Amino acid sequence: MLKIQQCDEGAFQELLNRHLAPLNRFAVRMLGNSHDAEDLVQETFLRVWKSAHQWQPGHGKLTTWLHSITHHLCIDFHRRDRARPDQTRPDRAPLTTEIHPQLESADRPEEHAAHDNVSSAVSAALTHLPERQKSAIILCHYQGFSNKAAAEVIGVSVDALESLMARGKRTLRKLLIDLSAQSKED
Amino acid sequence: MEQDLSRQRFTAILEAYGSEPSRWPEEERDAMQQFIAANPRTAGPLAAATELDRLLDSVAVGAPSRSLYRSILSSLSGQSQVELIDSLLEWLFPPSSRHLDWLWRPVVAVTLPVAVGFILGAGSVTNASVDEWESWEEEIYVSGIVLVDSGAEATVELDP
Repeated sequence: MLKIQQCDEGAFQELLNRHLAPLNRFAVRMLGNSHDAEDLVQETFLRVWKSAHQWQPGHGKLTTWLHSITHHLCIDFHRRDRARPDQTRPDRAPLTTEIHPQLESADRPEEHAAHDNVSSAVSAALTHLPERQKSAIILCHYQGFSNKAAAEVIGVSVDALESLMARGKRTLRKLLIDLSAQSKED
Repeated sequence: MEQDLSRQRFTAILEAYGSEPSRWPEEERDAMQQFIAANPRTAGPLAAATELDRLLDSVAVGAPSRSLYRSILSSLSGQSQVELIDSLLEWLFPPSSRHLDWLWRPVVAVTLPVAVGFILGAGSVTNASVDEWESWEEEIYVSGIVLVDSGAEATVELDP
């Protein structure tokens, strides 16, 4: 990172090799689609290049700082998205209509179809959560962050982080448990 | 160790972090394990948390495209050019009006090429004059030789 602060493009490429995939996964789960996520990840790395001087080794881990940039860009993205008129905004994945037609698909093995169905339902349910709840769950469950690091990314206390995760998971459970029971029956 | 984990705290940890011990807060992991071992009634909430974890784990995200990697690197070099132009413009037209920077810098930017052109032009004129004198000297010298070779008439004409 110190080399990047001196505009070393080789060091930046190394950073890209190491952090592109996890940041991309974080953004895809936050936004629910890979197209917007790629734009956002690109913006993240441009900010890293331009603001490298702001990073200080003693002020936390690099991966926390990178996720923090992506998290805030996701919040901005959703703010802009909400401000857009409904006609120009892509629809959120509707939970019910997305689940049932796939369950009825007969041209694939049932297990695969059920798995795909559950997976897409969970993705869709995640996109329906408020931003900070979603970010808290994604950071701790998928990205492997400790509670302290995740709280630092979101900019809240550990207690507040736990509250965000618990509320988010209660909502997810409501949305998904019925589906799980249904897929088991099938 | 700290066996005194309350049922309320057990539920809070399970609801927030799920059933996987590696996701629990490190400092409370042992207490959670002990609480579970000592309380058979934790099986129900644990099973519910495991089920939600299983659902969350079903979502996989693929690797980023190679084009994303390339476009980030290419936008980086574009960014350097933009930064250079931006910094030049910012130098020429600074946002603040301190020390009349906004006045003297554009004036310098316009007059500097003119001044440089003038200096270069003056230098080349001087060189041209020297060359011109040298060529005149050569011509006179050659003319003199020709006249000497051509005989007395010419000498008479030259030296009346």
